[in-house]
Amino acid sequence: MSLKKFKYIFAFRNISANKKSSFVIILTLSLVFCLLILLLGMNSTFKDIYEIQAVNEYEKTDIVINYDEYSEARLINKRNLEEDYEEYFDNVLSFFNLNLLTETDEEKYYTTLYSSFDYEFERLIDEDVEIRDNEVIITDYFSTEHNLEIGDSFTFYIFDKEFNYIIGDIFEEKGVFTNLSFYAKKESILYGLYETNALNNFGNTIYLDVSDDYSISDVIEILENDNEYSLYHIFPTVNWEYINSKAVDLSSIFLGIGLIVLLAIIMVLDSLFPIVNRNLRQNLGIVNTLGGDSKFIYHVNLIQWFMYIFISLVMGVVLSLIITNYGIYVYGFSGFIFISIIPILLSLLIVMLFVGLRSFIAFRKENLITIASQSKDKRFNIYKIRYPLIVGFTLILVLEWYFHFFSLGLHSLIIVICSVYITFNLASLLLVFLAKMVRKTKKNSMFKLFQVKYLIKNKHIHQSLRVLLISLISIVLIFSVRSYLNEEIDRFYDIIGFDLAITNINNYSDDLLEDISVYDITNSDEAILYNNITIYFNDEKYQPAKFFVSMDIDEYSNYFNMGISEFDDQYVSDTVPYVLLPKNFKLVYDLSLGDLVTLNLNYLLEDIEVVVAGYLDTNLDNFIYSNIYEIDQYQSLAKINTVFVKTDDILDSYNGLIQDYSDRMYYIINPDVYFDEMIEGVESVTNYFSVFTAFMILCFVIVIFNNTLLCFYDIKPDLIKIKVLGASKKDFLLTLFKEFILLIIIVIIIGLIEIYILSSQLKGVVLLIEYYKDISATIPAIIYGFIISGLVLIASYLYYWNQINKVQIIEEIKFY
Amino acid sequence: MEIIKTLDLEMSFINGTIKTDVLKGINININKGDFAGIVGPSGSGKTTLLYCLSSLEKITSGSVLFMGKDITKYSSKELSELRKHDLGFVFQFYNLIPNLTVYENILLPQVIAGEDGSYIDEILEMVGMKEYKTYYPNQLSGGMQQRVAIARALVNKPKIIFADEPTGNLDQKKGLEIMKILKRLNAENEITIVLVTHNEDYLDFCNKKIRLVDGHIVK
Repeated sequence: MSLKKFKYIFAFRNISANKKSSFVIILTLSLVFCLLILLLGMNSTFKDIYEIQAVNEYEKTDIVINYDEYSEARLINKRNLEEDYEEYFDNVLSFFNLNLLTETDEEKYYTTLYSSFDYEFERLIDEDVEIRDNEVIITDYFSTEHNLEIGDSFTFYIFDKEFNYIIGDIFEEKGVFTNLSFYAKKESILYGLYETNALNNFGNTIYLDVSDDYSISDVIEILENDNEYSLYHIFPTVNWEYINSKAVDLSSIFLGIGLIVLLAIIMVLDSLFPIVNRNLRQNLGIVNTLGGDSKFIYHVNLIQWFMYIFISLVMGVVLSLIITNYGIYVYGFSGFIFISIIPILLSLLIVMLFVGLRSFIAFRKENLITIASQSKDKRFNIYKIRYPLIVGFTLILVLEWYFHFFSLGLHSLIIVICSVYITFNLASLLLVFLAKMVRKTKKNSMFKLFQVKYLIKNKHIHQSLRVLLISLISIVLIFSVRSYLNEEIDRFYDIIGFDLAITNINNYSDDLLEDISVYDITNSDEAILYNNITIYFNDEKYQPAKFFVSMDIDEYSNYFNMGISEFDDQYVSDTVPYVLLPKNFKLVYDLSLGDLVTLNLNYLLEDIEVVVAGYLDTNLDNFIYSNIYEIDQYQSLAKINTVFVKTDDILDSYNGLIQDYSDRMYYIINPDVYFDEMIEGVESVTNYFSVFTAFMILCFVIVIFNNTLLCFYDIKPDLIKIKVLGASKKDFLLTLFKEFILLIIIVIIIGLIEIYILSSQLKGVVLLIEYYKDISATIPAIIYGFIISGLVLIASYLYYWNQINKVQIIEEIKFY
Repeated sequence: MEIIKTLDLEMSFINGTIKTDVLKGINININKGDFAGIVGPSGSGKTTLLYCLSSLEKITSGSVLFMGKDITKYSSKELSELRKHDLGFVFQFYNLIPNLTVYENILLPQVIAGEDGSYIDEILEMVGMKEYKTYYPNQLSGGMQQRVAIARALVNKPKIIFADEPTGNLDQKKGLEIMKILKRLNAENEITIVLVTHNEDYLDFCNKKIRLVDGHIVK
């Protein structure tokens, strides 16, 4: 038999002979892989979700052309596109879509109209359409929400015209046809509006299916360069810039705690080595005695690890697929997402590197021991306190804490790493101290004579203590992030100070403010509002934001409940507009007052250079203020399109406004209703995070359990000797209880110190991934963390005790 | 013909600031085909002497000559080669690898030496363990495990076997069986045996007796 083949057999035998240990190792490694894949693959998972959502929404459509209220352009002729660009498109679908007021059962609300020729709607949502001219199709959501059925009357208003239709069919939500949407034949709508059929080829939204021979981006560029379409908004249905930005935004919050979880994972991995290397010293001694090279056992050990890794990787990938897909199901997305290969390979690389390095160190250490000692030394691994390292880390921490040598992100990272090392060693020192105190007591007990020595010197108990601590910290942070996500919704609503907003105003005049005052309105101000804008800090760094508002700065705080900090009026000028950005941007993008940034407000207002003049007192990325409406250069393009309103009676004002202003196609926003959709997104992420949280906590529960068992295996030979001497179940229970109490005291003291430090530094660490969220440990999260860790520790000690009771003395004292 | 010889062998252990002299000026000659027994009270340095003779422990001063060559000057690679081809070991606690079968435990030195393992069945037959070759060590009695350990020591046809209390963990009957196997190997295969034992009765099997007291040879 070749040496190589024998090594594989040896490694396999090591795995198969210790079934329980192998199960623990494979289970733990699988969880490690799963956690790593989930963490590293978070970004690509979100990208996949958004890509599939975009693909599902637009089905076979690749490009959309439309216009908005800011554009001079209006209807688009489909025939021109079909004739001029025949070879580029497989399908050109012309729609007349509008957000409009609808009335059913004397209830008025906003809905979205899709109107086209039937065959176009059929192609857009891939369903057969059969309705009459005066009938509409509504979504099943619409039907449920407003209790509507086929045959019910359905009234809607376009401009000042009333359309009385009947519900002809109800479709399941599909593609763009979702929420409160309905379909009506375009020819009947346009005839109703203009009393002519000449406009049937026109629409305000064109869906284009690009031929396979052309790239979507090339076609967009060609259309944008055509004067006929230069005033329209032309965008791909799968917008990668948007997808990337949203995925980064969402995954960053998970990656924020990733560092701590990664640290925990490394410690968990490290805790597996004593199990795998249990017979290492003896095997090394035997092989050396036989004249073999130490590398022989090193190779066997590595092969053994690779076998574990291979099996665990497969299990980890399967597990992460299940968790991800269950997570996205809870998120509210229906579809199956595969894990991208990159996070899998990265996870493999991290584990392999750690295992390779750790094995190498273990072997070097073992090789320093004489062969004679290797063959006969069966004592447990002795814990040694590395004072020089503790002093070194303390020195670095103190110097960095007081002198701030590095940027905030690196500063926090250094504090976190040093504090983790120091506090974990403090935990060990405290354990040694408390154990020695017990040893000084007069009353002799099994705990004092036996367990105390073990607590002072055994490496595994100290390792177990650290795993317990890092698990506790991770659990607390996971809960903290979860509660942060929940609170973000409240913070958002707290900032919104207006009761109603009239938007989509395309012909604003000052009279409007006076006209609307009859609707119990106490305060109203004109503004420019753009949704989903982008701020470019340089060629590579950009940030999307939900609400760009430009209005009188003195009135801004009436409608948005946040202060303004560091405002410097030297940057206020008549030519260059200024912006006020959320204060977290200052840290994330390293901004200073006076820096120039570029805004893309919409497709007509691109590359506007603005100066940073101050910050808004919020860490929510959604709010941007600018005085652009005061700058002459932009007044022709950036027109007043919104009026923010405060009222004594929201419902009355809302009903009055939609009644009287919908015919002008103004859109009345009640923030509580309007932002629900956006909040739904945050809630979906929170739900997804809940799945992730539950899984991570499960991982740490298993890890705490494993480590307690590891301590049991390590001390088992000595426990058996004590059992032989007549120790009873009660004696063991009392001994373990005392050990448990000692550990819990240490975990409470050290855990609270480290949680406090991490809590203050975490937001700084997150800056390293260009993200800033003021996440800190919450009291409920700390309580949950202690309860979970405490209960798991109790359970694992009870299991430990049960194992001691079950030990078959005769079987165990056999020596081979 | 001298197979192993020591010249003023000294061995000390240092634990912290405490130096313990374990072997003091040991001079011995063991010839090819000898069955040498090392005896002495506990702590006299018997096992340490065996480890020094077999290169498992580095000596403090003096020399150990194997076939006329000073093995204390050998590199670790040369020592590995020596152990691989010329030396065999039997320990009190057998030191078998628990996760490998009997056959695989004996195959291990063969594989390390680059041999094909064809000799294993013969060896197992010799120690009476042929029918147990698929068993794991924990499925065997102490005596059986020691026989496997002897088979493992023999499989590379060493010139000398170092046996450290090979019967120390066995009852009298099984201990005697092991001694007989060692004696047969010594007599029939001309393998030199160096035996450490605390049982004076087993000195009857030896043609050379070395008595250690407090690190000195007294007889």
